[in-house]
Amino acid sequence: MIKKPLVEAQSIYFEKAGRTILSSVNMTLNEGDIVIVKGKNGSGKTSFLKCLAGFHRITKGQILWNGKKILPTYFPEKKMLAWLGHLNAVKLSLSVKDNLLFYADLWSVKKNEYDYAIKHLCFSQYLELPVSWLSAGEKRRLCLARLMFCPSKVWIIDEPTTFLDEENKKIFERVMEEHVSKGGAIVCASHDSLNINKFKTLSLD
Amino acid sequence: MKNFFKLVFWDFKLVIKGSNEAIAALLFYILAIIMFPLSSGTENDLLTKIAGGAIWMAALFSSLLSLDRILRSDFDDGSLELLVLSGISLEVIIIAKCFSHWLTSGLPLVILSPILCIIIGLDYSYWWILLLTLLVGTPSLTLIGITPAALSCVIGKGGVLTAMVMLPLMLPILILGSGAIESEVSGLGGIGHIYALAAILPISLLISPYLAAKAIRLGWE
Repeated sequence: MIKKPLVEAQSIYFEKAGRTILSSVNMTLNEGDIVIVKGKNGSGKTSFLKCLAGFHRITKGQILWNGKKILPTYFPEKKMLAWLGHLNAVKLSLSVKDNLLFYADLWSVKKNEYDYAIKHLCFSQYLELPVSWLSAGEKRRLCLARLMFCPSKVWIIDEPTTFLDEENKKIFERVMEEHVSKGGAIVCASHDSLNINKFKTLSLD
Repeated sequence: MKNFFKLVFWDFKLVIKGSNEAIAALLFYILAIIMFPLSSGTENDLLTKIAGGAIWMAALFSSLLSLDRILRSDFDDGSLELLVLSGISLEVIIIAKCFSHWLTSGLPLVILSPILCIIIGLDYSYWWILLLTLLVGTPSLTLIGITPAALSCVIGKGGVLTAMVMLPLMLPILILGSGAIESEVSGLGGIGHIYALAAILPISLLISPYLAAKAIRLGWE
């Protein structure tokens, strides 16, 4: 039996306020794939990711998750994807630990995976600090730590490396490769050239 | 259901550690009620007659103050996107938000009401009817307010506009709430009003989380 792709976009169109943003975009995401979405500013990278997750309603075409026409935002029976958008979704008034633990608890993450993510992205000494004390790069890294312990196969990430320094960028590239080698799959919109072993490029220009 | 309580607890923590808006709303309520007898003369009879209305006006405006914040911070910082992708439906998230909002700004009003009853000059023997109306009425205030609050964070503006949309929807609660106290004081018995007030709660619990979720989804599109 042929294995169904995790996510499939079949010639999708998306219009917003009369402007065509996506026209006839195709994508297939199998286990072990990394798809890097490239394009100029305003070419619809973020819109494409939001269509995949179900935040935007596409005007034509179809999006299949595990071969079914169900979108993650409308099918909340179980967690289908790990999402990292433009917005960090961290609470400034709470500590790093509180922020991470809430999602770890909500997603029933195993203790060792949680510890591994924190150690891997060097957050051990920051745990008690309030998030408002962190720099923009550190806040982004906090999101990446949360992404790392997320128990979903599919990652949809939008500009993950903004504000990151070279060293952390390299760490994150290894994290992405590790996730894919364990049977995961990643759709990533990025301007930066990522130094990853093998990936497919989806150009929206 | 476990996730529901996790969410409620999380919101509760955010309110305690973060903003002081919940406390501001509560303080506004207490101050309004303390000021009211001072501004309306020394006639005890008059005060007893209008006390119910005054307490309900204060409760209404203090809930308006804090309603705007329920969804806004989560919508603006992307938490709502993350939560809806966490295997919890948006409607449940919204009910959890309402519940924690009620815990932090509705329940304190209910608990304080016997004391406020004395301050405003209502006879102390009527404390139970005041407590009962607030207990049944304040959750409906939160639930009715959530849809305009969701709309306001979608268009990115809040404040006066939200209040203008909310107030007419909250009128029945105001009328029934103060009416219950008034008719109890005048000897007619206020329990009938409370039954009607209680009927609003399940209706708003059924309808408004659905509408608010619809508004949020529209905002994402």
